[in-house]
Amino acid sequence: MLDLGLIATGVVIWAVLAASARWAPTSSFRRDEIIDRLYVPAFTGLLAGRIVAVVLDDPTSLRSIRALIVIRSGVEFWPAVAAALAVVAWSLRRGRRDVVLGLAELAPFLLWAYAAYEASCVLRDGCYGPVSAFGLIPDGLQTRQLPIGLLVALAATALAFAMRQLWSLTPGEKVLLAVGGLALIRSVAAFWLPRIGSGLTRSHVESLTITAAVVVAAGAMLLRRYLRRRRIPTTTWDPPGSREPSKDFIR
Amino acid sequence: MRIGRRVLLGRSLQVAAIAVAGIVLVTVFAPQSPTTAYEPSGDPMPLPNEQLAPVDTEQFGRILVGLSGAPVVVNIWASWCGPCRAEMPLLEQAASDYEGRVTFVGLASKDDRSSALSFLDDVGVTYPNLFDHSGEVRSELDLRGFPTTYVFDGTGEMRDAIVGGVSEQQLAALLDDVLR
Repeated sequence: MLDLGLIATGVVIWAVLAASARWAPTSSFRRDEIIDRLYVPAFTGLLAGRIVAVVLDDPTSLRSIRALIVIRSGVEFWPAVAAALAVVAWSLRRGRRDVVLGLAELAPFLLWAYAAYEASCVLRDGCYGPVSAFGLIPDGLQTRQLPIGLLVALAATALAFAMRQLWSLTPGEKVLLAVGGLALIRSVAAFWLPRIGSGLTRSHVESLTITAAVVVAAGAMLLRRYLRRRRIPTTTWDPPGSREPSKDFIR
Repeated sequence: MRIGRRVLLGRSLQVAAIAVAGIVLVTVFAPQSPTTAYEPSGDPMPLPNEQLAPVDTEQFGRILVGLSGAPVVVNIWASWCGPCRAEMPLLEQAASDYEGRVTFVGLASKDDRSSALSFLDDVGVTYPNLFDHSGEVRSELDLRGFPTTYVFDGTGEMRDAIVGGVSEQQLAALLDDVLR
């Protein structure tokens, strides 16, 4: 059975990627190369995320291809992201390119693709969220809800644009910013999304964990940078004989 | 750069062609949502204790009347249906989490009863399930595809029918809405 919403979402993602590749050039990739670089990792990530979801929820379904291909029954987000990034890194390495630089340049496109997916909630089941005076009424519901999916899409789009403007960051820092920013957006959004049960969902716990890990990593990076700066000698010029030369210069 | 633009134009045309083909396919083959006009009627009848008890249209309607007062979720499935199996763990979890507030009832249809019983055993479903032995219940509910999940509110009015697998967000949103 065809899933109309999912097919429409795929078309929207493809269109957004094609448009962003056209209008947001990178220094490492040709415009016509960007989609080629991303669609295989995207499908690999989807497959990996679905397999992980089935293994965690109902391992006996692994025997059934028909059950395995039902994407809407659940895809584990972060395993899917990890698999997609691994494939991108592998293809960059195979092409003898700088892996971290490549990931940093492709990250905004992945964020735009994710934003397109979230914004396409209007084409799938509906955009859910807390009951609100502003928002949309999803199919079958009688209450107006704040469309969290659309807000997530806005935040992911803003993060992608910010990444392209932060020239002073190293490629590694940009990759960390993309992963941490996405985890933070999903962590915050998940508090307002409807769920079965009172506890946090598995995906929410994963997002919170990744956010915390990135904050720790970013803190370590900043500390290292601060300590390195403190070790750099002063370069101010003193007239000859005005005072003893610093030991740093002598060294 | 000129070659890049030509390739990009070619790719844009490919995207447009695939999008058009997709829209045509979807228009021709996409399942239509069933009507939500079904209204259960008759004297109230309790849910049978036996798992996969055979029911006809009249008995099914009477069981739903008996359950009115609280929202009811009816999930139509078959043992040969992959998406049915995929959504069962979610429905089982929801039945457990909403116990006492929402009643979950499964309805096996277009299936062999012994296969359906072993399927339930295999998946580990504990909420009550009925068996549509003649296929008339699915016709009455205007079933368009397997699985389909129907949500009835406390008055017995059908609020929504979801064809294909239901997602956690969608199910939780529907149940929270119908409980408000």
